[in-house]
Amino acid sequence: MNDFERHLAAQPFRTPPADLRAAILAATPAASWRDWLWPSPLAWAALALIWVALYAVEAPARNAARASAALRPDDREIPRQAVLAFALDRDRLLAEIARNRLPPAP
Amino acid sequence: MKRSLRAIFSRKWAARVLFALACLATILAVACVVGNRIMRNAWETYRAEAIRRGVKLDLNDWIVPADRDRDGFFGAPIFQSSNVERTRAALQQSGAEMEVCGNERPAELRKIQREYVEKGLIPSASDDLGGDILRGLDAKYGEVWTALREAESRPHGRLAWDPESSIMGNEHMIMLAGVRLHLLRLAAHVARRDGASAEDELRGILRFAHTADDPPSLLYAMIRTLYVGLACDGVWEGIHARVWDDAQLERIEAELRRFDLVADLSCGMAGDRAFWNWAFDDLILTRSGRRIFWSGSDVKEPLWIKWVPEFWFRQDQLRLNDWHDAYQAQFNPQGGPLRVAAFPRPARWYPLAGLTARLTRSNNAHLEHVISVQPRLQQARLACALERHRLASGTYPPALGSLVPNWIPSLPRNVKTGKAPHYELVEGGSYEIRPDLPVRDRPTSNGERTEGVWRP
Repeated sequence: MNDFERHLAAQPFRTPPADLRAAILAATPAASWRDWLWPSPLAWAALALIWVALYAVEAPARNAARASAALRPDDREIPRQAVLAFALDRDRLLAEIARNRLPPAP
Repeated sequence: MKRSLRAIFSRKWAARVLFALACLATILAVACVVGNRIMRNAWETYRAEAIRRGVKLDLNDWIVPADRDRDGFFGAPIFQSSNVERTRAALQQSGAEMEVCGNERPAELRKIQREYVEKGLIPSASDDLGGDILRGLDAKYGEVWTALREAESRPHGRLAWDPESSIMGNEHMIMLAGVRLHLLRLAAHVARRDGASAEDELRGILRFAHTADDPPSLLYAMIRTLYVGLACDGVWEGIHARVWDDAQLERIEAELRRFDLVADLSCGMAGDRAFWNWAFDDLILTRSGRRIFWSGSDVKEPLWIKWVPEFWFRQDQLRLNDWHDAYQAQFNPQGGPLRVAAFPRPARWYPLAGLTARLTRSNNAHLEHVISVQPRLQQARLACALERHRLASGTYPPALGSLVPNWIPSLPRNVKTGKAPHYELVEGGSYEIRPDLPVRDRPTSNGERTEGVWRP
């Protein structure tokens, strides 16, 4: 820091006149929720529109997939928990059978 | 410095970051929706085409409802859940004789006889080795045996493949014990030279194997393979001891001819495919039941899997079905040789096919096992025909072709080579049957077992 800079640094700040301060602050726009809609509300609206369109496309397709996987008239609904228990049983038994494997052919 | 930090955390920058994140999320959502649509269409197209080809993709097509008919085979008291624990407890007290799984030779029967004497199951060892074994088995497993015989006196039943009942484990446990008891008793009857009773025991084993006819799952195909393989050991026991007459051997060969373990494997794998397709559909539509895919696995279910989009699973499901198509294509309906090397290997793991890799990794081991047991079944059939030839003419034929059609309708072919098993007459008026071409090692004495070789 040179002498001039030291001189400037030593200068005390003066409080601006109250009326000037009030006038400047009054001219500044107040913060609002619109600040969050950067770069423009239109851009956010476009994004929202895309999400609505995605939902409109996806929901019927999902329902159609559900319908195609639906039960035929003579089918019966298979309870999920039962299938889980069943799968566990299946793997355990396969391992057990593998242990019971036959000795090499005679 | 402070000013730059303040700029980063300013409302203006926060709004920019928020917008960037919203754009990123939108791009990802668009990608997921487009991906879902593409893979969903691909799956629907594949599914329709597979159904046209006659593939049964629906689990409901494979379900075998639990037969709880009070008069049916599985309606017998021994299969009732209230009796299962008692049966299990009785079988858990079994000694070494229940573990040998058909390796009982006369020498081992002597060992079992000694064990029964030591345990007081029979008063003393007599010259009637078979009789002592039968008495010991009655003393030890009398209650289970009586209940099993009662079940066997009932009409035929199919082992249930029904997620709602989930009882097959108990049934298999009981039936496997039944198979082993039959096998031990068969060996005892053979030791007494009682061919009729030995045949009856063999039929008991095959009866259990028939409960898994048209196996709706790989599990059932493996159960059937296990029982049939053990039955073949029983056939070998009787033929080695020459206890069966022509009519008995003809019946036994005809009974064994009804089994085709390779076709069973194909059928069981097709049933498993329907099962896993059900699990995939359920996972995609409900996002629950994911544990099915990790059941019995050492690998823990990844936490991120619940966030995976539909197309990931559909792609995996298609890959699994392609794998099954390639697998089933190797089974020749005309019964030609299986090109084992052409069977698809387990799918490699990569992020878009994680479940397929998990579901296919052990299937080749099952294939190898079936391929190793099928020749045993063929050898048993040939041994019956050869024995019938010997009973009729006093000698074994010079070549297997002489057995057709009088002693066997057609020669069984090796599943790998498509050729009839290797057969040759050996010194002492005996013969050898090998599943493949001649191998170097030969049995050292009559009746001794050597890898893959039958020599009575």
